[in-house]
Amino acid sequence: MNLDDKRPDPDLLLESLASDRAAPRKRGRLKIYLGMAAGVGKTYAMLSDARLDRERGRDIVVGYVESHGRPDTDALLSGFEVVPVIQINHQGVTIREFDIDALLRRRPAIALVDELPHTNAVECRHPKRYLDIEELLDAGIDVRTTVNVQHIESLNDFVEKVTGVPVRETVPDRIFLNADEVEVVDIPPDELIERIREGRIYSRDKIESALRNFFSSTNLGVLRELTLRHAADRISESVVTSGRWSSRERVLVCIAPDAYSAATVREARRIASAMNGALFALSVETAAYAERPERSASSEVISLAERLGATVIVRSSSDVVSEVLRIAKEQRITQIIIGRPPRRNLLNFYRQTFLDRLMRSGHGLSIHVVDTGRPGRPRTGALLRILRIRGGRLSDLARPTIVTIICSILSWPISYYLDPLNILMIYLVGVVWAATRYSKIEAILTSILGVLFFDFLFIPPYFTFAVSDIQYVITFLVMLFVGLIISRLVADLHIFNRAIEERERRTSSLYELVNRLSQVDQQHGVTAVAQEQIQSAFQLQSLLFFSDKGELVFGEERTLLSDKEIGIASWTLRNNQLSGAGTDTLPTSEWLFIPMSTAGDPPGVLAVRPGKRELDRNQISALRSFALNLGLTIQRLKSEEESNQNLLRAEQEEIRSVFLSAVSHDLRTPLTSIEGAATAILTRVDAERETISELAQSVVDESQRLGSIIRNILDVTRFGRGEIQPNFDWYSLEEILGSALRVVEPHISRRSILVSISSELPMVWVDGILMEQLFINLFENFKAYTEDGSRLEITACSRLSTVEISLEDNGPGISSVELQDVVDLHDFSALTSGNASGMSRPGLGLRICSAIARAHSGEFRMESATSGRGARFRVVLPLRSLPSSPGDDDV
Amino acid sequence: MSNHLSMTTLLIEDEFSIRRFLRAGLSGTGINLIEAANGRDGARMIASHNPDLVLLDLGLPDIDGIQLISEIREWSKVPLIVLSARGQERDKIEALDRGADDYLTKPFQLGELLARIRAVSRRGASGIAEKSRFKTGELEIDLQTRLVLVQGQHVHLTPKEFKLLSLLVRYEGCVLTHKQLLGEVWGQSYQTETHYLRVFMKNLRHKIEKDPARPVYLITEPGIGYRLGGFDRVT
Repeated sequence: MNLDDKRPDPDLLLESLASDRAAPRKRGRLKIYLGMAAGVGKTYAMLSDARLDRERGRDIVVGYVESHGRPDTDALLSGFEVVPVIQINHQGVTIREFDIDALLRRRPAIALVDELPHTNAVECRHPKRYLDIEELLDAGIDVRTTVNVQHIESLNDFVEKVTGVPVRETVPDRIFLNADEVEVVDIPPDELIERIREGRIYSRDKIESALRNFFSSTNLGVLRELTLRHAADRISESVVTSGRWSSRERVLVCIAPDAYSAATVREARRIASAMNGALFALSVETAAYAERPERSASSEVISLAERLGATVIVRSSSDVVSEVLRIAKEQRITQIIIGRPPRRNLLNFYRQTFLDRLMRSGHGLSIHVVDTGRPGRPRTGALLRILRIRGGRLSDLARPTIVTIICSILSWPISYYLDPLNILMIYLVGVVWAATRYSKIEAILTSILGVLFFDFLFIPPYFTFAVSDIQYVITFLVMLFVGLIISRLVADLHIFNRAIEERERRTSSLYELVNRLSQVDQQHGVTAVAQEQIQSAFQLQSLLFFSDKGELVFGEERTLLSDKEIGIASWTLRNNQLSGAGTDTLPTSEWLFIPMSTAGDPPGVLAVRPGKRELDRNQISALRSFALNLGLTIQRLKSEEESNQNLLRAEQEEIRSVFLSAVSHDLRTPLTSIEGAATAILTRVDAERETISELAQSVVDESQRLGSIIRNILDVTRFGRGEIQPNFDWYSLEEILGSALRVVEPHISRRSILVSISSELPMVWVDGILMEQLFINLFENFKAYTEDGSRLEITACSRLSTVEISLEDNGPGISSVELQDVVDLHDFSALTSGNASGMSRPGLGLRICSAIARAHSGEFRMESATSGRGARFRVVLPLRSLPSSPGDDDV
Repeated sequence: MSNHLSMTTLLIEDEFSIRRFLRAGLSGTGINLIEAANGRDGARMIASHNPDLVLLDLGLPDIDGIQLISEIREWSKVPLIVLSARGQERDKIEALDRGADDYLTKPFQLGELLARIRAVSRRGASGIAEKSRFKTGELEIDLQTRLVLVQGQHVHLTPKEFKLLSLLVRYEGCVLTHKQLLGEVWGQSYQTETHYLRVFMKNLRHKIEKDPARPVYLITEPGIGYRLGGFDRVT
């Protein structure tokens, strides 16, 4: 598909992003005190070193140290700053765990955290202490810790074999490989045994059993050698690493889809270490294997390989060998390690084994075959195993029986003309039919039933299973064999197709997501699209959380998450790593948190809820691609929004300047009159009384005009900023009109205002001051745009859920141009369009009327009067029912 | 009614132009105007000059005007009129609740100011006259006999309506806040039920006003309360 060629591989992109991000943060140094067994004095050595460093002035804090009640250790511990441990009550038992958050807050230069392999309580953020330590290191804190050799993952099974004591807690090899310093704390085995005898390590009652089991001198000898050798290997490796890189061996271990691979991988680790080589692990998922139960075993092996410090590569392909060779070429592999292949059996003898083909094609590669003691195949159920089927039910017989009966009926008429062997072909058609339509087990049953029916119906003696001619036995066997092969091949093909379909669906869903995201222009749109796509592609519930200034914002969805989950969601954002279900961080969570990684800080976190389902690597990798695309989209939206805001700011600046010029024009006119009149009064003090009072009157009038303009400008500004919040109360309309008239009427000369409002009109729920302003503006509008002798008539009526107030004048009316102009009355910016006379009709006043009406969830309309001449303004307000009517003690 | 007042009035106002305009405007009215440019000086002058009336601007540079009212009211009962800008209804109500006697919204005309000064000083001078009989134009009220006449015709008022009217009459010319009116007429627990007041005021207007939409007596102070207007006192 050329689509794929153009798009960058999301995994690669993620990887490069992760490494980009990791670079700037300075990682803390890790020092490990390695011992062969308990009691060699690791903690003691760690504390002694720390004391020296503290005396040198280093900032050292004890995160967790277990003294096991040993007095020497306790003495060393005194004087250190110790972060208090958390007490966790787990099913009645109090567990003490070190407080990683306290340590992260405290941020010492060096933290001492004992017992690296410790398994944390379920309530903790990470299941393992080494993960806590990695987080501390990531935060730039130096960590010193202790561990015994038997806990090292790659040595684990070896130690168990030698000592016979199983070790459950293991530490991945990569922790050692990445450690900055490993110090071996070593004492001769005899001395350790002596220490134990003296009771300095274990309490009296345990001494004997300890010496008998683990601490035998043979065991200790082996463990000591293992410890020293491991440390030495590490040193030589670091020498090699610092030298030429290309000389290093590159070892690839192939993970087969079965549980026995674990041992192969461990062995590979040892081989790679011995060669000072880098370890790669490859798992090739064939389509058929995608449905098999071994799959989970295989993913366990994959995580083991990761823990062993291997670079894990997972590929899907139908051709394993060529995939292995391709990876080997890509990664410049020198050594390939595979487990011993299974014995040949009845059904795969015709195939070349994996090893055969690998050896034939793998030029320039050393191939190691490791026998890891793969157990022989159990004899019982061998046939089912070979056929790769498991568990059948009686109901599985139904459809094969029907198919076989149909084949028999079809064969019956032609059996008179044809040789019985040709009839066999019809049964084979039935087998193919069943294989393509039904499950594998049904296909197999069809072939078996086919043989039985064929024998019963068409082979003499008829209607018995007996066979007269011995040659038919061969026929049956061949038919059974062919039928089985066909059913297996066709069924595998079937599964393969389904797997391809699933992948195709996911790919197209990702493509669709990208496509749809490119059209989204708002953040909540991203959420809706993402949730829909994730639901359709993965059948998973999902949530999206976006960050604001580095903090994750949780809206109403907060209730769906526990406090712990909210915590790790933020953790995911900060650390740019997966957390929650199926990960190392709070695996008990119901949710899986995926960072929306991008070049900068992740702009958010995608949360999906797998519930009880376990997501496989393919699904997680697809989800990460989803999250990546979401992150990129959010980033795009952010930058778009920024540029939009800049544009808006520029526009607003433009509007402001036009507005200001309009306002200053309107302010200047009355100011000029006032100044002129006042100067005239001053200079002509000797003028007649009438002239003076006329001038003074003009000062008063113009001042009032000025006042009204300023009031309107203020209101426009406040409405524009959304600063005006109506202060609702019950009012009678009459009262509001009354106080508005009281303000305006003294200045309206030679015009009349007629109020005819019924006393039955219900009370209105409004802001009295704003409504008064609305009427004042309308009255002033009436005064300004009508001639002497004009009339304004105010009427009001209540409808079902509204009150409508109508103000109709008989003035010159509104031209259609002006009507057009006020279509968008609430748009204050429209003020600035066109001429500079922003205050002219329909000016600020009417816009404020409209804004006030809208603030009351009402309407303000302007139209030509019903009489045909004049203007008509209508104010519609929603009606509310008055609370309990006040009673009176009379009447 | 005498237009000539003989009283000392303290103006606490930081704007020079307003002080100048009032100085000029009030000369010849019998008012002896003394001035303070900030709150602290103003408070001191109330103590030292014992004025008959205080005009207080709420927007002072040195002290919050409302707080100043509270302080003054701790030791003085001097009649006090607040001057404030439009759109500060909350401040006005607060000022009235803290003990201011009336308010005036800027910009105002000299005539309005003089009317307020007269109303407040009357109230301050004689207190509340219980037994008085009031008359203006076509409205006559006898507080003692509870008789209300419009154009000489007897008007029937419910007890609450009469109580409301008599309250406004007693403080005639001065604003009474919604809270004050509700508290006095209906009781302290009804102080927020403004719709009671609106309904009664509407009924009252329809009974005593000639044009209820253009009230002469029952004047609305938007967002604040009511005052009785257009009255002359008759003893």
